[in-house]
Amino acid sequence: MKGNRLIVIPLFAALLLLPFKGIQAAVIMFITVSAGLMLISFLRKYRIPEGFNKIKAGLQIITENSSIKNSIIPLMMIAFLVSPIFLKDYYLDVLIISGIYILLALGLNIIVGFAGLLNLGFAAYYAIGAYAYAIANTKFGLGFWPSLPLSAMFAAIAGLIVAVPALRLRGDYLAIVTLGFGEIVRLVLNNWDSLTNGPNGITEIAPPSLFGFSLGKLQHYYYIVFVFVLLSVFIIRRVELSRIGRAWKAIRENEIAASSTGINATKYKLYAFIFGTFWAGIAGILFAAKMRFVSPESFTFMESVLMLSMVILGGIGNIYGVVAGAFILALLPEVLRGVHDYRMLILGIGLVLLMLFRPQGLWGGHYRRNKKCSS
Amino acid sequence: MLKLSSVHTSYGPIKALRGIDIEVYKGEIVCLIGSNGAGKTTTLMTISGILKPEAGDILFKDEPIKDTSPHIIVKKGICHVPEGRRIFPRLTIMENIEMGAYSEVRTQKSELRNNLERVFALFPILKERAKQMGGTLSGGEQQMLAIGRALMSNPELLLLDEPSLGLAPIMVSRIFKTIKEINNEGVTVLLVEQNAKAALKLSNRGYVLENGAIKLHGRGGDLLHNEEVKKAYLGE
Amino acid sequence: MLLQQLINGLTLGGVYALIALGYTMVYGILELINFAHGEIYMLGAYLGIIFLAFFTAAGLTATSLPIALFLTVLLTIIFCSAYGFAMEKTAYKPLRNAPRLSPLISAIGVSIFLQNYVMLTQGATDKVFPYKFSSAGFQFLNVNMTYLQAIIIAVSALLMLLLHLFIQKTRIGKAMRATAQDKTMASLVGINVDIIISATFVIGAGLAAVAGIMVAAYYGLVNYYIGYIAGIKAFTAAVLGGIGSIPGAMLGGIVLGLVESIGAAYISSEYKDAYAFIILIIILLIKPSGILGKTAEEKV
Repeated sequence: MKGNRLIVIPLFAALLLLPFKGIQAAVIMFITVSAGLMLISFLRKYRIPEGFNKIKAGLQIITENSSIKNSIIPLMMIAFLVSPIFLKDYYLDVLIISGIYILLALGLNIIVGFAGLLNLGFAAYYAIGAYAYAIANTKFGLGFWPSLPLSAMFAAIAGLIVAVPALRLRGDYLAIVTLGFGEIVRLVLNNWDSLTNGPNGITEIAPPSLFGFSLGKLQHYYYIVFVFVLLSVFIIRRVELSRIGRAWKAIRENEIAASSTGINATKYKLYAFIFGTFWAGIAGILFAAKMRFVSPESFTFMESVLMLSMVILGGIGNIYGVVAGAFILALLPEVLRGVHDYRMLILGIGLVLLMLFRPQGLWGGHYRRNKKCSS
Repeated sequence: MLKLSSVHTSYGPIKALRGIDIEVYKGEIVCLIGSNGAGKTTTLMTISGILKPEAGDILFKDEPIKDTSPHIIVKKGICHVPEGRRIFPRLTIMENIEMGAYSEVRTQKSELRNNLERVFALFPILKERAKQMGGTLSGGEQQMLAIGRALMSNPELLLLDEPSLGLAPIMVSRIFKTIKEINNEGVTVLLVEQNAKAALKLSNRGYVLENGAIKLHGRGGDLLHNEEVKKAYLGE
Repeated sequence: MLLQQLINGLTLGGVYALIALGYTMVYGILELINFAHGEIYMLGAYLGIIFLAFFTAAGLTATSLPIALFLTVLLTIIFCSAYGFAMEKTAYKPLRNAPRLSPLISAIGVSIFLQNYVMLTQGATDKVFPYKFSSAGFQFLNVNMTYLQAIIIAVSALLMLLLHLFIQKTRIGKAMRATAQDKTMASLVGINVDIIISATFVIGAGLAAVAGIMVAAYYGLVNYYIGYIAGIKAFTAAVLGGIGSIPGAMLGGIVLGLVESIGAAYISSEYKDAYAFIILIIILLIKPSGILGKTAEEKV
């Protein structure tokens, strides 16, 4: 690192902060950034990153060794299965929410990871699933189980409605149209008072019940969500390895080449949208049943971004990575409870750093650099 | 004037150049011939700084340029007319030509005008169509525009990549004639060509590239009569 | 009534157009949706308030309002441009050859960061613009155009004209167009592509800064999340006109502003924010290249 950069960059950072927070904060910023840069140049000088690489290589052996992997997964299963017995309600609550996020991330991963279609409005389908149950239950007295296919279906139909026209568009435009749809759904929920009760939301949604027993306790929710997560991992993994999954990946890697081998790209993209949004609907009904309350506030653009971050953090396209990514990000607010206000700030910086240093995600496998230069 | 010594360049995992040595002397026309994928274009892109060599040295007028950015290399006097001409399609022809003189901020206005006159003298059609968009020109005219644009920066060394590609035969001979004229005015030329025969006839010296390495080199006329070259590249 | 809405719409449209220009210029060169561009506009609104409050406290506003306003605008443009510059260098430049998803995610990260940065440093409550412009104005044909509205429309038009001349006539402007068409070739004719890209971000941020101040003055209130929705609308405007096209962004902004204010007056004001998205979706489905856009050729 050139010497003058050690002055210029911190000075620049300090000046940027100056009008917002005053001189004192600017000085602190200057010192912090200087120290950070010096630390980086120090680490580079003594080649410490290579040490990290060794640790990473060690971890890789563990994660890639199938016998270790095969023993870890059942162990974790057992741990999760028995945890409600000794976990406090608070932790159980966090785990339930994590499970719902895992479902969402898995669904989004089908669209973004498998088929390579960017979606910035995934919260919309989540909202549709949640409101479908909320309305069916409070207005028509429908129970959880009959509503389950209803919620999933509504979400998937919404996915289809967006996908049919939007799939003609190229990547970035698709992202914006999905974002727009997400916003429209939120605005409708906010303003269609007679159906959705507007910003106040819908309260007193019934918990699920089975053979006349109400399953309203946290432990019940925990196991319900747990079963759905297992089911989704199992089913999605099956589909990923099937003909459809291979077609998705072919389209993601090169749509023109895929089409020329006879894959109907549009059809398979539609499948991805329907299948992905289906899981968002399931997550939505679980959320509505668990909270027993829905309001538009739970389905903002930030939620969509959070879901996308989960997929990207774990490793786009890798089911286990996505599960881990969702789990980490869902737990993060609890871990960062002490610095609660800085949570989103940290998420923002984290996204940038992730793209700069590990764009394939923590567990992402292959990653292609764009081959832009020809010949 | 230009000296490449054991230059290695890769595209990601693919090694495109495996240690090539090329030398170009002032006032020469030197051509690189070879089949597709031999590394001709890569060589030019490495010289002009679009690609960075992994090993080896590139000296221009005894000055190392291998870590220099492309826009600085242009200032130093090397101008690269890439394959496919790459004119700016939505800039007018006049603007395209002006862009050629982009790095010449400090040059006198009168000198720039002289350059412009020189380009228009070589290619009168460009003057006629100065206000048209570059994209409206035919392939041959685009090639003229690309060469004219390059000349605006007053290059000492001109790198030409496949100037005859995709042109009608009559256009090809005109372009080759122009290259000779430009060379006669004192511009050194490094030429990459598929059309080996015409290129070797025109050149003082030639290099034959194969799989990223120099296979043969010699005087243009000698290579033209070399049995191997005849068999592989001249189709005789 | 309709005429009044036209004037309101034109005011709003001028602002959208100024922001949209930043999107379209960056997209033209990098094919990147600079998601964080809306936040630059939000920073502009905040900085305008901060600097004007500073000058008011220093007594300059009382002695000479024009000088205080001029200095506020100038400082805000400088700071916003610096933010735009820093944003490109840290979050986008290292990703220039990465797959397209990476810079987009990075941009979303920057956007989240800047929103929370402002919230943490300036508080989550609304900020009030420290000077109240009078509601007096020109009266004609039963409508009222306040002086501030007239200023906003005039400033937007002037800036757009200046930008147009800059892009068409100056050496840097031509180099920008050349770089947008072919980056490699641009560097081969001696253009320093890095500087051109930085200049694009700086100019875009400067325009957004002006838009931010004008909106802060117009509505009198700002908060840290105005950037997101304005950014999306301005992006819509850019797509509407044809992304990558500078006249397109101007036209798109104005059309969007008009649709929004007329829609709010005659259809429903609750769905005001949805019109932008509905138009966006319709436009993308009918003519994805936008009103003035060139038909995009898919590169294989």
